[in-house]
Amino acid sequence: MKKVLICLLSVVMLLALVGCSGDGSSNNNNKKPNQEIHDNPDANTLAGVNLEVAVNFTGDAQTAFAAICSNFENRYGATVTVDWYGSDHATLMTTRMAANNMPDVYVTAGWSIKKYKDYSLDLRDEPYCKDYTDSALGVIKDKDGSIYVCMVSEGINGVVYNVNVCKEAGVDYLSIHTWDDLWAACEKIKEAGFTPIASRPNAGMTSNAVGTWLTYEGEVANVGDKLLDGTWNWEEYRYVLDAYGQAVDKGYFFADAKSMNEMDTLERLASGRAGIIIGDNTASVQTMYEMNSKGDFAIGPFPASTEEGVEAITVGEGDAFAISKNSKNIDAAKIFLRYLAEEEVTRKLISATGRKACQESVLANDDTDGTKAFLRLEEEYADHKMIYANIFDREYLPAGMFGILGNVAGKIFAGRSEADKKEAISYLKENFDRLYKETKQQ
Amino acid sequence: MKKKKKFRLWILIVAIIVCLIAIWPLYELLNLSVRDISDYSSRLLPPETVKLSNFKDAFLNKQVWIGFKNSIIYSGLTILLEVVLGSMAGYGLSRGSKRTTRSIKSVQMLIMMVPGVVTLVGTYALMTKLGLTNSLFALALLTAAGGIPSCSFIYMNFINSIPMALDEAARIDGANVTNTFFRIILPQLTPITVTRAIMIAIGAWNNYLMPLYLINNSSKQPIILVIRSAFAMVGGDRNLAMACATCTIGILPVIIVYCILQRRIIASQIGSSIKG
Repeated sequence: MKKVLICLLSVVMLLALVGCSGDGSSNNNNKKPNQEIHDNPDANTLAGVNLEVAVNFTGDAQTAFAAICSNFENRYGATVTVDWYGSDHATLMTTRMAANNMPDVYVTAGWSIKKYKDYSLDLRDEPYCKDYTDSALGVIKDKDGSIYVCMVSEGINGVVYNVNVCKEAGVDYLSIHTWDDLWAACEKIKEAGFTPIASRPNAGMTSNAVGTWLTYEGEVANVGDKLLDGTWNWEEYRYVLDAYGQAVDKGYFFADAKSMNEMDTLERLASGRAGIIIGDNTASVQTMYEMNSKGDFAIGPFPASTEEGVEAITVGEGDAFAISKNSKNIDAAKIFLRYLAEEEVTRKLISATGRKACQESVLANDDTDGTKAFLRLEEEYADHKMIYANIFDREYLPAGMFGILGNVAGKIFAGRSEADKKEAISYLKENFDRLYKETKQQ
Repeated sequence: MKKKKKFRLWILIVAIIVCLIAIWPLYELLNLSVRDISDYSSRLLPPETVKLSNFKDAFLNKQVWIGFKNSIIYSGLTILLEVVLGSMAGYGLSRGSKRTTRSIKSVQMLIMMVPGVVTLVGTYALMTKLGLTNSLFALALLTAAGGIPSCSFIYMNFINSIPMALDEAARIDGANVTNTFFRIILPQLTPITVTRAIMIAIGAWNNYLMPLYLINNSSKQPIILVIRSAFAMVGGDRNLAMACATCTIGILPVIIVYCILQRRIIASQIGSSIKG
């Protein structure tokens, strides 16, 4: 029996040794905390430094970012351990915030000010901050002038059109000013034998697109202040529920919209089965050109809710990187962000993500389909009453409401009776009150 | 007699429905894994063309094999830690004084009732502060720590059914407590040990949450994180077929083990609920 026991313990120890053995290359813990580093370090200046970078990239963006990090390692001699958090990024980062164990560098995924500012270093004196476009600064600059991220791209959200389908249906998408105009266009597209809208129930419809009903001057409601001080009762959200509810009832969406995923949506617009996506971005336009290079896709603003109202493009943080205040490698992390902000590196990343560059120097020479779509928008809508606004939930709602609004989109497709609407409004109010209180307490 | 037949038919119908619900995701997974990248037809319909090369590509992915290796190490370590410590604790609880046993049992029950996710932040903070990230042993230690209360509880119930006379006879023959446990009691526990080992292995193989938090080094990732990466790498959709093929390969060992040993697992589960 002793032999059995010895064997058993030996196996445990052996496996423990294997399990605990380090990787060497990518798990180097020989950190040099806050070592002195020049602004333009030579190769291997950062030898021995291991930067932990948490990102939410997937797909092509993941491949591109891996190559970018590899180049950084080769240039500076540092090692970069990337946490590929993907769709779990927000949850994992929240846990790390609570455990006070932030990575050296992390993607802020749209929340550099509201969620991450207490954990992030102020980067306003970094050279790339002087190169930002006004729309970028409008999103990432705090009231006191602090900038917590190195942002290499911004998200441009609006309504995406398959121009060829619109033409075939006799719709001039540039003539759409109000939501009523959009529904009329949907009717024409339907009559021409297409499904008007390829969107699936998601927060792009019920969050990103709702500013033109609720928060701008001249629209049916302007309740931004009440949302910010937490006193709004959400009753006016009925405008949104009614509008989408009618669109569903009139058959403007695909019958299987509820079970569609993001790629289904893009594929159906790209292949010409539908004419419009409500609440999508320039990255999707780029993806659709990859699916159908002969297609013609354009992005336009969210329509106004009244004739006097404004059309709106919502702009959000795209790929933005912050440095943890408690990082032991702050200088190395700063060099990493400066490297990311280099024109060539930024271009590599935005060509993979499809987002629009947000630095003047990069924007001047950018020919990706995402940026082309944005430039086309600026040109085609030059005479429209159009504004660039921050994304609705990031401007007016506590963190966590985006998902709640996405659930409400599902509720609209599930049922549209008066009781369903009341239940949806009550669901919104309940969650808003809870999250608002939690945010205030934090 | 007629009534009995009707009842059986009803059970059969329910069983078929339950089976269909259980098989549905597997069908979708297999269906999607043999599709071409451009096949966007309904997931319920068979693929337009069957493309087995997705499996070949998945097999050629070095990371899949690294994932298998890590999952085997992680599962093996967890089994050893949990079974060895859990069985010893179960023996102690079974043969210990009633008052102490009752108190420990209450604490154990309390621990078993707390979902792991509730203590996530604290656990994560502790593991990072102790430097126990990117280590399969640390991960196994954590998993075993979570499983030992239920494991020792099950062992205790089994050991309760073994007569104390065996312990007394061993003691008369000069065996101490350790010898009595390993030489006399443990051999009686082979059926539950095998079953428990299988259940722990399946649990560790499929464990997603803690590896996601604690393992970010690709050379240490178990297969579940490789599957996750496969879905992430293709954007979740663009090459869904390849990701599904990786997923199919990743879950295959668990399905095979379960199919081969299902009788033993079910028998032991029934046994553990009867004993004690």
